Amino acid sequence: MRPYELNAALRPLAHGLGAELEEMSACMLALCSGAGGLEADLRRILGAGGKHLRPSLAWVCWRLSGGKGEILPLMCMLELMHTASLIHDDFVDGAIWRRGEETINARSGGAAAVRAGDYLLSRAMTFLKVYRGTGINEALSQVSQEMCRGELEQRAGLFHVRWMTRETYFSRIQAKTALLMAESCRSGAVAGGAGEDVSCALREYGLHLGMAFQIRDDLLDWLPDSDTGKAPMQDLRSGVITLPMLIAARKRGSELSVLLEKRDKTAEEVQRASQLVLDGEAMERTRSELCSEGEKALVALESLPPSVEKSALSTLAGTIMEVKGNGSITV
Amino acid sequence: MTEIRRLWNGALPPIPEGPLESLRALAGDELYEVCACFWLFRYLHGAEDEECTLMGDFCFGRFSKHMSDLDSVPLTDAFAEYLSRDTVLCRDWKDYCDFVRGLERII
Repeated sequence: MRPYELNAALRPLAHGLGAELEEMSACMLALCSGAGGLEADLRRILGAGGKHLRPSLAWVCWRLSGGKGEILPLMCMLELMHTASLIHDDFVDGAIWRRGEETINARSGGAAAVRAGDYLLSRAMTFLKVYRGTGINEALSQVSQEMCRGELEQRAGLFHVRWMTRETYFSRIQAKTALLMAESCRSGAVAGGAGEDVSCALREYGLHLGMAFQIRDDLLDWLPDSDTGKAPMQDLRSGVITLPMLIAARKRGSELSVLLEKRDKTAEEVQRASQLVLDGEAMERTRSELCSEGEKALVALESLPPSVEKSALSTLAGTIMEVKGNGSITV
Repeated sequence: MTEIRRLWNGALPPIPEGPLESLRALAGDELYEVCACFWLFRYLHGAEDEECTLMGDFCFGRFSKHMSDLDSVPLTDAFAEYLSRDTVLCRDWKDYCDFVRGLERII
């Protein structure tokens, strides 16, 4: 099993967080033993490492809030939900690689991928009883629906740039990415014993962190040296309209819009579209939006008293805002 | 189910009204929504189609919402166990009907 990649911002908490992440990983691998023919693929994907950002956020917010109740079941639920959605997304997107491993759909077919994701959801359900009466289960089911709604809207909007607005983009990334991060923070705080003020502040932090995270991901898709583990301009090729494309299309007029809306682009058309996006203010304005969301995340933390955990969350928001011109990030 | 019907689009197969009516008779009013959403989730995920997978995930979200409203540990455990076996063994409609009939004893 590959070790997880603890975000540098969270390293001051590595001793406690690291132990919990290891226990979470061991628990999730143990859950695979009932998966029959799906077990090998699930062990491969779960053992491939990853940043475990959502359970890490839950743990940090739990610790910040006093660390009273159980946190491991929540961490497992969040990571199982997230991994299930990644497995399904990889099938929907036709992705071949994930965390350096072949995706389940690439190795074993689409049917196996869908069933594997559903198996993880069945295991996530077994932890629900721990958090009855806290509001966490209700919130997670709402987030699950919103994530699916975001994916459905994204799919309906493929190759459609002209009806898309900044508001629809932000609504989509909120649903797809930010809400689960927000709930990871809020539910961690609730599990730790936080009152409403603290859990709301941490939810707000998580929401804007998630928005920044997705905007950064969409920005890095355009930068050739970025360490995303994905081929560059994947969004352009697959028809997903992201913020840099949206901003550029509004400025560049119909030539870029026509290219963005064309399916099966030639190599020359991809090159021309990327040139039109990269030359101009679209990247800078996207960076500006990224920083705006990062700043909102920092503002959300201001009401909280100083602590190692608060400092780590601040540092995390700061690192997500840092994108150099060549795409490298200082993490 | 209202929300599911609202989002159901032309790229999906027709909504299977016959089985849903059968579920209404089997499950009763209290359990119909949760049983219908769960069954649609598995039905769509059996199609090995991208659009069906996404819509199936949404149905799972609606199922989760109804489960949290019912707030029953035995019911949650029963569905979790059924789902884990179904993903491995690919159970059929008859098995699901038998499962639904047995739920009344649980809640």
